Amino acid sequence: MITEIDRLLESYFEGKTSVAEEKMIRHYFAHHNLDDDLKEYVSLFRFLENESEAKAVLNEIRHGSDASVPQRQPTGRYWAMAAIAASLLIALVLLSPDKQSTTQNGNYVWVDGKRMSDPLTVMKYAELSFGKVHPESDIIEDQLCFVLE
Amino acid sequence: MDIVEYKRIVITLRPSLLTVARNITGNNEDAEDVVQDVCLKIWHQRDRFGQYKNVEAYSITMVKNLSIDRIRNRRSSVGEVALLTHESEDWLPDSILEEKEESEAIRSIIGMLPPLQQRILQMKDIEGYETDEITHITGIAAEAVRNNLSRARKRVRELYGIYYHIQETAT
Repeated sequence: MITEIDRLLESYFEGKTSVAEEKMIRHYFAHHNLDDDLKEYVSLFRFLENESEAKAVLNEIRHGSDASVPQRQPTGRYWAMAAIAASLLIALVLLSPDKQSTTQNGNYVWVDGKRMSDPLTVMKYAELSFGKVHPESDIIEDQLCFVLE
Repeated sequence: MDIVEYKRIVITLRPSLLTVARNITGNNEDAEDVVQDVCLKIWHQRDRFGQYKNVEAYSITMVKNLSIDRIRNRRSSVGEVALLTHESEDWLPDSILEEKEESEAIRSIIGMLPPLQQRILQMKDIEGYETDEITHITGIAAEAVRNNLSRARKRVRELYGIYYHIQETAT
């Protein structure tokens, strides 16, 4: 006598079953006491059931991790890298040769495209610029000293 | 181990497993395949998983072994083609007969099918696609999908039958 499971198995091996019918077959082999001639199918359908269940989970995990890559929030590693970069920047600013401190009083002026920090040299240029106006040289010198202090 | 516990373990282990696999295989695609195979093995062996004290170490060992196998298989692709086209009726490789795990034997048998049959069987029996969906995805006619699926299932039944009876006789 051909049973329902025999009919389903025949369809299955002909490639004619639907996904729903295949689920019925797997359920049958997982939950019934079977005749000897059907026992060899138990491992086969259990394998397919296990494999499809685990693959669905793995796909979910894999796609979940792929999707999260572009939107990943900064982790401790990124914060550490940012902190190191910031520290290097601060160190560069603080440890770089202080051009102002190499001058006599920490100030300078630009005259005809030249940077000058020596008050006497600056004064000479200033006097020249002002047509060597000696009466006012004291005022200029005072002003330059004020600027260069 | 239920599916929730399994998912938790895989999410935890996956990054380190992928790193190991990538270091050995040298590419992401192979590494993903190796890690997936190891994760599937973990699921198939879940009843015995409690006996492993260090699950991560055990999984990493599996990843290393499978990654090395993958590199070897790349080198012996000619032999693989011969294996896939073998048509002997009662032929079953020693490696499958020696397998202790039924799930490993079935996986190996599916791996011996011609690539098209293998792919259609995967899509139908493992990924859960209907025949007409496979037709749309692969561009293969519905009748050809059914024929290839039928041949694949019958071949797996035949080879697994040989394996099953040998194992039964041995025990």
